[in-house]
Amino acid sequence: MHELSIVSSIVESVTESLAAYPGAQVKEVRLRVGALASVIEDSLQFCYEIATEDTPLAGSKLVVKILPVVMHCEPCGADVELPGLQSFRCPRCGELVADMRQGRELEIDSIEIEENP
Amino acid sequence: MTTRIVELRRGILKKNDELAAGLRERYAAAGVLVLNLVSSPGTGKTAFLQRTLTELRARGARVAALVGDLETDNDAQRLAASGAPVRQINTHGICHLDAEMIDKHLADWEGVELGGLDFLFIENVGNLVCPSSYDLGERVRVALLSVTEGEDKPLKYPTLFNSADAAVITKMDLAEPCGFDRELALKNIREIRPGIQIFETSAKTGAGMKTWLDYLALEGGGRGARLDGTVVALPVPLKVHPTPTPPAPLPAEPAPEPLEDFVQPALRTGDEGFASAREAKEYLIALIEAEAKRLGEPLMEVERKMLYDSAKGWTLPDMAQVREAFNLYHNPAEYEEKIGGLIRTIRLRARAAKNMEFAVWTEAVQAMSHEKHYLSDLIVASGESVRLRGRRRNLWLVLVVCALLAGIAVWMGLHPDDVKVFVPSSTH
Repeated sequence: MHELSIVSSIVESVTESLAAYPGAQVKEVRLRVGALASVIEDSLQFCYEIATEDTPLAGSKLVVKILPVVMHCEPCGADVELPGLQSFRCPRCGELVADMRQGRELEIDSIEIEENP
Repeated sequence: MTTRIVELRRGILKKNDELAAGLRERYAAAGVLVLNLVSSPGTGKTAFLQRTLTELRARGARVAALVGDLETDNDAQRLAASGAPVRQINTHGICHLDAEMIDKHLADWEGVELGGLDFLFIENVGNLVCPSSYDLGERVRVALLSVTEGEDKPLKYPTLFNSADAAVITKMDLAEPCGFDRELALKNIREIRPGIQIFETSAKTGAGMKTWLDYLALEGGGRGARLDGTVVALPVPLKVHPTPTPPAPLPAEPAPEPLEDFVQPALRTGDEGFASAREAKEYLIALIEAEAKRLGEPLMEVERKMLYDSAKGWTLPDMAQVREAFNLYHNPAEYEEKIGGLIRTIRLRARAAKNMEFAVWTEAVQAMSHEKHYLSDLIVASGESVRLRGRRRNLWLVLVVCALLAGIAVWMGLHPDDVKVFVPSSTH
């Protein structure tokens, strides 16, 4: 439901960084989104087209990379990837794990732009 | 035409996060504890908050609330019945509160200054998805769940429950008619957010409110403490949302420092011994407590009292309540690991010390070992081999050696000729 706000922030942020590349055209915007970020890719895509209209991002493609949740397991002494979000237990040893190392990311990784020399 | 990839690596909600970080600093500087209450619509956030505000005020705390809704100021009116200043934030269609709205509403809130508050509650828009992305600078995020919603709600909304610092189950007075499976609900919450503190409450009957208010008093640094001045015994949450706390580096090999430089509980020389298991136990607990304090993480009341637990032998008079609180709010495995670590450090330090510390430690451990004390189990679990009643075992050893020597002497007496064989002859 809040994907429109998020897409608006993306437009704002990318437009800002385009100032360094006058005349450039945005081809692609790549996101890194953690599995626990409360963001649905389909909703992002749905809002993206509407929100980029009449902006320098119009016509660009949104690529979303979903990152799995990675927790640190104390007994195993290792970072482990959770297979799902239904149980915060180490898939190796079964212990409950509370120390998160990845999973809440919500960031713009990079943009692909086309420049006129 | 050239194509170029520009690395941005920028948080999408950076603006909100920066604003929230600023708010967090302001809250801390003003000394106000800010809580963000999140749940589905209809969980009973408002009723719960109204009772919380009323009771905190009765305890002498200065409280205020911001309440978010898409439309209407109904909730603000209900909350205002508590007598606390309340301000409505209408989001007009937006499904969550963000840091900017909080900042704006704090700025022109007539008659309310952050510095004049002990607690500020933010009742978020009823929604279990969107608010989890927006940091409001709060120190404690509270996820609420009512008994009428189903025990699997945490499994359905893991993103929110995992980001919470405390969970409140509301409408407990309806648990029975609803067939609420309490154990399952607790298990599901803990499965999604290990180590979280869970409060079971009813705003209608007031059940569970005392524990919740004690928790607030503890988190708020003692403000809103019990009127009778009794000690609040609750643990602090595992983490503070949402700044991820880097795990403390494991002390690989605790530096052996002399023991004299920290508060030594009744330093013993080792000559007087321990008159009873109780005395030994109290001595060991004092050492563990001092060590925890020295390492900057003093034991909570419940943690300290659990050290006295015993199946047989002397223990505290209120052990039953302590056990109950411990089972509710602590993870035994984590607790044993924590105490085990302290014990190992004490042992290392005592060994490194030049005085009698280690001998006294060992003696205390042994003096306690013939009774069934939880502390003995903790010491064994920490890797110490506890010899049963050390002195008595030594006595047995002496007796066995004596018996052996006597046997040899008797044998030598009966076979004087054979004995000669063993003696190097000097008569040749």
